[in-house]
Amino acid sequence: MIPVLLGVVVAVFVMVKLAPGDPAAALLGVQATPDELARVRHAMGLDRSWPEQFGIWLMGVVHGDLGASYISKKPVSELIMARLPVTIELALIGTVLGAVVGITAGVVSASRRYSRTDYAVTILALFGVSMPTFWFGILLILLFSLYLGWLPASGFVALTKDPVKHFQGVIMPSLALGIFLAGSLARFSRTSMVETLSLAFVKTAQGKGLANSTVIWVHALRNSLIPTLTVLGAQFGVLLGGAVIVEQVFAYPGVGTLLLTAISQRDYPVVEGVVLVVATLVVLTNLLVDLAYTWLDPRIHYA
Amino acid sequence: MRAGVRSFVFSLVLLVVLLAAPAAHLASAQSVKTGGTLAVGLDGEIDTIDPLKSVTIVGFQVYTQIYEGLVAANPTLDGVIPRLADSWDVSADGLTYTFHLHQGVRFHNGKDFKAEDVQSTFTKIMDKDFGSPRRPNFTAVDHLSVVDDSTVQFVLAHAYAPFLTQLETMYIEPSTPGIDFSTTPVGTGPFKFVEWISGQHIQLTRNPDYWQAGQPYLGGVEFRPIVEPSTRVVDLQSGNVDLLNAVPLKDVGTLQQDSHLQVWSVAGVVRDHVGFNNSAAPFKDNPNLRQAIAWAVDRQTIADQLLYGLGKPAQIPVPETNWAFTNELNNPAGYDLAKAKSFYDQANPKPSSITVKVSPTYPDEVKMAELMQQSLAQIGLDLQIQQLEWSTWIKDVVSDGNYQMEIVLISGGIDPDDFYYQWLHSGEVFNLVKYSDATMDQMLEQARSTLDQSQRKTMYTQIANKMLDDAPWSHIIYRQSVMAGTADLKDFVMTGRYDMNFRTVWLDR
Repeated sequence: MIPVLLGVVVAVFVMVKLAPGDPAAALLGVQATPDELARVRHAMGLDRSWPEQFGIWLMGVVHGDLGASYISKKPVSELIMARLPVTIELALIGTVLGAVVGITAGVVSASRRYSRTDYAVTILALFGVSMPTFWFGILLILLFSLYLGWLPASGFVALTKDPVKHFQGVIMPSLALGIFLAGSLARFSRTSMVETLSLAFVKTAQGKGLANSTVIWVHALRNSLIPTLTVLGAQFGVLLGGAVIVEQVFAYPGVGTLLLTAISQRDYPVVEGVVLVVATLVVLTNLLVDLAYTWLDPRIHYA
Repeated sequence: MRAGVRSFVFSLVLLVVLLAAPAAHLASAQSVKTGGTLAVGLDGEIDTIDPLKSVTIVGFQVYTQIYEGLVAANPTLDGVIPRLADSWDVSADGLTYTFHLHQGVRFHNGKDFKAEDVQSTFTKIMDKDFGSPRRPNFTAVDHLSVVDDSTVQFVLAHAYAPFLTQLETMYIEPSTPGIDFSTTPVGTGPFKFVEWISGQHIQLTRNPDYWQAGQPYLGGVEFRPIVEPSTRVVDLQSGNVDLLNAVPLKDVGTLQQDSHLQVWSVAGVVRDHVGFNNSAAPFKDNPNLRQAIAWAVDRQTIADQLLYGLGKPAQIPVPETNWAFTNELNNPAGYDLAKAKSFYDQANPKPSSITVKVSPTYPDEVKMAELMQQSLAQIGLDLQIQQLEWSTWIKDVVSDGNYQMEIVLISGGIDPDDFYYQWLHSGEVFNLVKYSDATMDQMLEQARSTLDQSQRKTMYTQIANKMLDDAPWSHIIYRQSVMAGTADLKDFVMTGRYDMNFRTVWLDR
């Protein structure tokens, strides 16, 4: 895990440095004189060599200091911590929604192979996977905000302030995020379930006279979940990437909008901090998925 | 006779207006409802709330609720009106401006507004280490003196006609020590700062001690960044917000048809141009090539189709609403490919291909380039379009002068000097067309140091004509500024640069 994170740290730094744009110009506006730009670049430490800048940043990261925003001057960790719970909530609800809908659809589809239900699920899953997240988000807004008037198109209200409004605000972004996951999980869980259902223990269970639903939902499901879980873990990173887009569409104040605003303002410390934190989250999620294998399949042991 | 009829009609109109005005005002005053929070959808997150540091339009729209200057721009954006200064005197030589400050004004922290606050604000702006982007606006000021608590004097180093309009950008912060204006803004404005949760909202509440009695009518204002244009429009249509600071041009027609909404559209200060690098081949010392391209721009099609009719063909930088605007132009460029071909044939050198640099950050400019590409192909000139990320575009075009041709949109201020000097005077940072002409330099210098407006108008007409003759750049379009709000938003006056003055705005609900 440590080498992966170190690689991420280097990659993030290099990517930001290679990106076009000048933070000093972004801060001072286009009318800044060369003298003023030079002074601000010096204050930001941008006149130092790359290795020097990297060394300073790395030392900070090791000590838990991600630096301060060029624009707001606030500590990057403070900015991220203010936004991270919002994104994590969105990602978790999106994941649960996607997993429940996707796995259920996949299992139903597998247990009724080549039926109309199976075809319908396959088409819907393809739709979910192919639909660009931002486009689906806009369609949701048009339906639920403009035509039905049920939900606000944008606007985040803190849970502590008004729980009802909070959940009204979280429904559409979570749906937009979950649809892709549901689509891909439905496809994978169907394939996995079809394979599991052909295994001997399922035949045995059926031969013992167990109800079909018990065989599928109790015995077969758990065994078919391992490959699905691998996909779920891999998709979490994609989901966080999708959150950047979804947050933008729904004006949701998570790390996604923080990242996009920071990019447009060339606020490099914030960009570096957000990418690092998100990458760490993805690495941790994959670790959790690996650990979950042992629970799902007791034959798996990590030395 | 005709003059007599015109005079009569004018008098009649004036009479009707004078009779109607008090009645209308009275009707409006009687029905004004106070309270309520105005929700404003912004097309981006503000950079900072400090008026001495912010460089974005959204920042301007927010901090102008909290802060005020000595003077303010008038709604037509061609002059200034008093704000924190009741009046001012200008010395005969145009070097000393004495401002008489309004008495009884208090900052939101309870401090009385005095001349010392003007001085401390000015000192901050001019401090190089503070790094205020407003500093270049005041380099003509030699020094500032506090005469007494209610009088300040600005003494200029040389006569500088745009000074008053530049002063509009100086928003006064209290001299109280220890305030971090980036997190806790304190001004004299109609609304007080409550909170700014990044990405979520900026909340302001009515200033009950505002010095203009009875104002503002609103109980508060909430600004919400909604970057995605489609979401912003649906938020307005569904009543989730009351006002949008920016409307996608393609949606203007739909919004105009909605009886629950209102759309404001006024002549803006933003205009598009095609610029030539006058310091390098093939455009250097090659006026025929520059004219060939100027005559190959189909301005009307761009206005009608690319901008959905929300633009007008332009020839000169100053918009029609500005007092320096003129139609007395000797050589305006039209769309005439035969003429363009004739200029192209006389060009020396006569390149077969030219590269134009545009940025997809401004997609309309890319479309304009594509349209010009088709026109220029008809006269045998191949236009290569190079799209660059915005900051790279700025580096190549503005900083390094590494380009042949560019298309971009730029904004102007109030004084005609804003539209000409920085763009055409030798050596200016924003002279992105790298144009250098001693006669033009002299004309521009004279125009900014002359105080009489009618004389200046004549000078700017001469400048406009010289500019069209030399064609260092060619203007394409004046853009309309468009905003939209709900029908129950009352008495909002829109300006061409998207000011948000909510002092007398109210909600009819």
